[in-house]
Amino acid sequence: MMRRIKDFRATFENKREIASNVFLIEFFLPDFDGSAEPGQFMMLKASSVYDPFLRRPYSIFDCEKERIKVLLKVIGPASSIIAEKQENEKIDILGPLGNGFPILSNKHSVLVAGGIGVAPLWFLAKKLKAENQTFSIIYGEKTATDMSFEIKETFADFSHIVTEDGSKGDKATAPGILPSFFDKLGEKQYVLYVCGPKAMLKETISFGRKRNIPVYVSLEQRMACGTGICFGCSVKTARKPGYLTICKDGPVFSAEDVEI
Amino acid sequence: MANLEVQIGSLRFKNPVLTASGTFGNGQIMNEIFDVSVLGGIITKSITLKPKEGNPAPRIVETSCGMLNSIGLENAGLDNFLNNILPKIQLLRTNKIASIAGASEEEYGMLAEKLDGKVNGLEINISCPNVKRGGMSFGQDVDSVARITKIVRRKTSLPFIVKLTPNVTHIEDIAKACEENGADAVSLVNTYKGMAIDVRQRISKLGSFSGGLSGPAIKPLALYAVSQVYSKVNIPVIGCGGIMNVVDALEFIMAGATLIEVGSATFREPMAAPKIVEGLKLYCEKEKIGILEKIRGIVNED
Repeated sequence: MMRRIKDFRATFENKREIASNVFLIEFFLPDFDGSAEPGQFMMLKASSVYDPFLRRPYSIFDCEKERIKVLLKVIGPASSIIAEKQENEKIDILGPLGNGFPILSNKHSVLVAGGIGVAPLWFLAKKLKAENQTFSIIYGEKTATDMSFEIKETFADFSHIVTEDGSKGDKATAPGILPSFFDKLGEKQYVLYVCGPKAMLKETISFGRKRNIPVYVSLEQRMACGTGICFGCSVKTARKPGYLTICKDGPVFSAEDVEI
Repeated sequence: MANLEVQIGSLRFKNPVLTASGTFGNGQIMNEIFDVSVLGGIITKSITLKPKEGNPAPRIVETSCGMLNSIGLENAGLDNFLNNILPKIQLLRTNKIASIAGASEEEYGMLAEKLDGKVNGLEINISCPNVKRGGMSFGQDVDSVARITKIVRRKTSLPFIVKLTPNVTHIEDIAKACEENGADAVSLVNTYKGMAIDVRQRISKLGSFSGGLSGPAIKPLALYAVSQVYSKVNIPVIGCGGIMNVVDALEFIMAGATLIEVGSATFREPMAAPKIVEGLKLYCEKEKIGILEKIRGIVNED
């Protein structure tokens, strides 16, 4: 029996504020072999006392042997406790969990990322780049933060930045520029990957349908277990009655399989 | 070396640590995280006669030191269990106890009959709504519990446990009815009915209005219920409710539990149950207790 999922006694290594209340945090995970797929996530236990009781799911932003990075936005007590941890403080991290993005190597991948939804797509972009695949990453946010600059620096010509207030790149939303963006790219075989707010997922999916481009979405939902045992994080299936679990069947789904 | 073995009717357990229904899937997923054969047994997610879709999202909400859930018994039904799940979990070298949930009293009998001889034991989930009685759960009506227990006893030769709801005035009376009608054990408690409100949106935080509260928040309530039931029945009592670690488990044993179920702890600590097994071994060695029976029910009102 291969035991793929592990509960790591990790160490908080460092954090960097990327935007107001958004942190890129690096953890040291002893014995982690570094193998995880873009789209997979980890469950972080905020505190050793029972309040907050449940762990919190975070997409893997990046990982290597014995190291993992997550992008965390402070939205409540649990994320605040994690963000305020000190260097060398211990934290339990379970993972890697869920299914990652399928990589379709004969197609040009277009990654559509909104705000902190960039986390799994950064990891995907990094992998596509390492495999010399053709891809584009469109990153949108309300106003320019360090993330826009980092994406530009790391993915250079593969990246396209938009902001709602025009503070960097086009003044637009990420899904809003898809029609003109694709017209410029020309006739090719494409696949879309999207993670961000619900409205962004919907707009990207409807664009994909119009152009007959497959779309993969990364979904989020409150979770208790993260492993598929509690059936707490359900999403309605599109093809037949019933539900799928986001943690085990997802968090990455073909847009045609789920109701968003 | 301490002997942690315990028994319910004819069924032997290598140790008293079970995993509660609905908090461990059907064991296969957790077996990817640790070797589940170290446990006394696993209790499956509740099985219904027909497939059940479950409740709309959100199905869970975190509360102080615990959580509310309203999953709605989502499962693919008895036939799927027999054809697709059972063959896989047969390979797990621990007791497999099937949790069953009926939509009517008769359905409990049908489920018990079809599972007879297929698993090591049954746990009867009586916390499901009795549609005929306006949604009140079977477990809140002592006569209904008595009838269900009697039906199940008639339909199966397997040892079976009745899992009691704490949403009653006198849980010990319900336990007594189970004992008198042939149950081999009772487990308690299932979740406490509760709710949480999103003040900003002025709606329930759960998709189906209310849910069941579990976790450390309910431990003192559950412990007292176990103590009350232990003093009234002679069949084994299985303690459940907010057990996070070996100290919690020992509290339940001292209140009268023969076995314990680890529930929502597994969501937070996937290794909670195996750690409790290890902890019990260490405790027995340190305290020089050969068997746990020596401390069972040692703290009581008499």
